[in-house]
Amino acid sequence: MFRQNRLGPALLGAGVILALLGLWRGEAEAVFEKAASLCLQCIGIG
Amino acid sequence: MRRCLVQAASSLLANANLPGFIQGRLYQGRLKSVCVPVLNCYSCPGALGACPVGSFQSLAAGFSRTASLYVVGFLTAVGAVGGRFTCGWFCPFGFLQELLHRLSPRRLALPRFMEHLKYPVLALTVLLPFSWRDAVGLAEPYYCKYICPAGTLEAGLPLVGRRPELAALIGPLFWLKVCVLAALMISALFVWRPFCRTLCPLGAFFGFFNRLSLWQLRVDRARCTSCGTCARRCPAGLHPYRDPNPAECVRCLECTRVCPAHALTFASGAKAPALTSLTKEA
Repeated sequence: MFRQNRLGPALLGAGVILALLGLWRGEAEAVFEKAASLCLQCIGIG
Repeated sequence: MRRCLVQAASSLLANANLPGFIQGRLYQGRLKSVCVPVLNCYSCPGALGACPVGSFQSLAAGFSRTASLYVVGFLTAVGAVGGRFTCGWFCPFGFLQELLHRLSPRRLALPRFMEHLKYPVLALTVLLPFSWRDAVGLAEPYYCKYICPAGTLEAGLPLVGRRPELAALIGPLFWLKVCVLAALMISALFVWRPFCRTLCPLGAFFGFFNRLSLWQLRVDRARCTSCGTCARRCPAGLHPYRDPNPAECVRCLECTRVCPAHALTFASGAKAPALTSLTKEA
């Protein structure tokens, strides 16, 4: 039987809201600072 | 073949800063603030976006111990749409493992218990940066540091190869990570996507959404003859006609292609075959 999935839209909405809250907190800038600089741990010498 | 092309295009797009590989320099444009929905190291010279696992760990490891709503929200939204669809269609490291798997005629099944390893890995990836701190109160992105083979392949080896000052810093940790990478690459010759199925925290996270996502695999029970073709062709050794949306499915959709009765579809709730069609056939 095919069921209408109600949790999917709710999770999508929750995810979008969380992401927007994170953007509002300035986390995109924090991510940028980490991602734009060399991570020594990631390459195995940190 | 179509999925292979999408995977190749996605891998190229995620790592499109090709001059970076020659120069040994990272892309530092504003796109780096955008997470990609796959495991793709942001220290890769070609990377245009940010790895969500690395981003989450790095923010959690700082003094502020930030549990990134941006990263978690982004991953939740992506998972809510298609579950592990991004693993099967967009992940560069998954694509590489599949290419390796095509090289060997020998196929081995992965013991089922090993597929559960990725859940403690996910838990440790999330929790350790908050809890395991040094004397000054800082932590490290432990998953990236000790395990992540994508970082070794995409960032470690290219950067060490191009920058002598980094090559001079190589120590036991680097070789440990190279061994992890080599073990997984050799395993990939015989086992389909061993890393994704045993150690990937992103795959574990997206797997939680497979039964809840907007787009799902659906079995039309009126058409399914239980012939088992989908199970025989499933590269992950699953049984789509019995259970179409387990957490282990990366949604390669091979089952939908090979089903002789066209009983399997990947569709959103709105586009799924309607109950009325079943009742008519009944």
